[in-house]
Amino acid sequence: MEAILQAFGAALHLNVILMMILGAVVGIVFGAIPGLTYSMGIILVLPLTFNLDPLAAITLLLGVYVGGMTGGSVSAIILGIPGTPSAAATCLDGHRLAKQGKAGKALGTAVFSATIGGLISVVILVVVAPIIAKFALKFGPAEIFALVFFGFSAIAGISSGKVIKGLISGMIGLLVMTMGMDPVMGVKRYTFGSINLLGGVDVLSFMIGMFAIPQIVEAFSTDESAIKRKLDTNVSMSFPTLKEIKGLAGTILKSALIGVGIGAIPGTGGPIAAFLGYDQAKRKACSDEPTLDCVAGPEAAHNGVTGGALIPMLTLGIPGDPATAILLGALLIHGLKPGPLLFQENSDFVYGIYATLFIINLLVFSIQSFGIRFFVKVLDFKKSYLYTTIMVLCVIGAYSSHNNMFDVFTMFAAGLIGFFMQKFGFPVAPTILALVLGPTMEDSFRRALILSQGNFATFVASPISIVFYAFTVFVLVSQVRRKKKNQKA
Amino acid sequence: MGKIDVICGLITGAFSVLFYIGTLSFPEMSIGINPRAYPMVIILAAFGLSILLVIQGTLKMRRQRLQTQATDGKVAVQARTLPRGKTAWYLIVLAAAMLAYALAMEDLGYIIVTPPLAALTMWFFGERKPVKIILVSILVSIVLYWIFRSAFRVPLPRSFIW
Repeated sequence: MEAILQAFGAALHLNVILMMILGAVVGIVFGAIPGLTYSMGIILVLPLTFNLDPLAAITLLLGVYVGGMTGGSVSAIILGIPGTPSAAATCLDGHRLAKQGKAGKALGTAVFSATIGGLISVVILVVVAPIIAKFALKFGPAEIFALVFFGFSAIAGISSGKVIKGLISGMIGLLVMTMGMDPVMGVKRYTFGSINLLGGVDVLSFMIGMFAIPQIVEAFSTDESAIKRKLDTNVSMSFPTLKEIKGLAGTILKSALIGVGIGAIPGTGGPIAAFLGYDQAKRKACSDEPTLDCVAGPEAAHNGVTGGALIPMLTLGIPGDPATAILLGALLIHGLKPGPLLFQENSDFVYGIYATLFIINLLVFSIQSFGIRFFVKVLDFKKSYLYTTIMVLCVIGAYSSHNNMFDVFTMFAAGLIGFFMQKFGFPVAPTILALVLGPTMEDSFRRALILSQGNFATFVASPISIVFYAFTVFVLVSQVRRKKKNQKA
Repeated sequence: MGKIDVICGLITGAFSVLFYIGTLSFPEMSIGINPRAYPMVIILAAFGLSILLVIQGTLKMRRQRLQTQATDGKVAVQARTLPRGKTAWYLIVLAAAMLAYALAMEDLGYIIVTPPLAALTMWFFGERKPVKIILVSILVSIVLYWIFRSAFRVPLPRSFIW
């Protein structure tokens, strides 16, 4: 208890609070504008964190993460265009309510439910994470390899139904991470005679290129006039009354729990949770008419994902989606390796994350409540200004990684690769996942083989490893079954 | 899409072979596990997946052919994958400008090379008012320079003017 109080004390420092506000605003803006993603927002603010202390740094990124999850509902309700994939479920009834003149009420319900969903997920994170971390201390290199292998099962979920292409994307990421000096023997691998590649490819520059450049290019061919036509900037938020809250409580609680559970499974994430939340709310409503329950359900569910997704990321070092993969990469850049040892060696930091996450949820609620008119106006922002700023931010972000122009070239090259991958139907999210997990995978693979004197049977010798392989098969099979079910539907 | 899958599968396969050949040049080690073992596992997996993609693409092509026969050649026109026309030219020019920008930044400094790139991007995104383009591109560059250099201590390349 004392540790938690101390963590709240640390989280209430001025610089940490400023980072929370900055992160939340950036997240809501990136979440609200269709075409921009909060993952991209996290990548773009990452360079700002290099000279911050780790807690302030992760606070900024968590602010974008939580803010981005919530911000998607603004455009979903007002324009009928989801700002994030997770907000697609909110769009179904939320926009219909807006058409009936209840946009303010729908927005208020969305923000309220998302906040409660997020807070419930933080409480579960605080309770569950230490238990998993304690258990994970028993893992040796072979078990860690099996765990990372399980992490790769997320590829099936984040590949938008293109599993083979998703796996190839993952292989590209793994291969990119083998460039440079071999971590055990110091042998040069795929350096093509370049001194700059001896240290390997810079992950941040590669991620910026892969994520941001294709989005900038995509924006060339999108027409924004349809959005401008639909936009009504005179919206004010109206929160649900006490009576309405009583009616929504069951939906919010159930959806938040769904969100936490779904978030903890690699490769699932916000959109699935949101639709499950919508589904259970719709069944409760038993009517085709749009209801506040059907706004509250998806919002509580996808914000519940935030705490849920942090459980495997913090305790095992396994990210469940692109956003947590970037968060994991950010922690590594700051010299903190998520996993069970983080809970032993940096427990203050872990408690700090709990505290900041809790405060961020409340802050996002306040910022959205007071600033809704501003966030609606953001939707009216000119594309030429927005993408020009993003372009310059990409360059600065890549450069600031090592203050080296080679990283800017890496970013452009990754952008080109990402552009062609997207154009030919290869999802880029698996590459990001592989970039982050690749070094741990190679390290555990080689250490396991060294300890077993080259015996490959070591990978299936422990029951823990076998359980992870079984989980991997289960996740893959369930994703394929879900895909087939969706195709039939 | 079937044809594209086949081509992508073949390209992936070709790259796998090239990287495999590259792996053979890594020196042999007698201690511990060979440094080429891990990349080889990845390359072999990528090669296997490329074969699967070719098979998947071929099956799709066959299905599309059968559909075409069944509908007397009337099939829905597929969406273009790559940008064409003016958009393609804009993208090529922008890519060249980015390359020139990255090459020139270290010598000329951030503050000199960034506004022209920003202005070009704005033009391509449809902004046609010269005063707005000049003002916004200079303002964005300077504000971001100040934020990163002063507030976040990122030493962006300096020029002779700043």
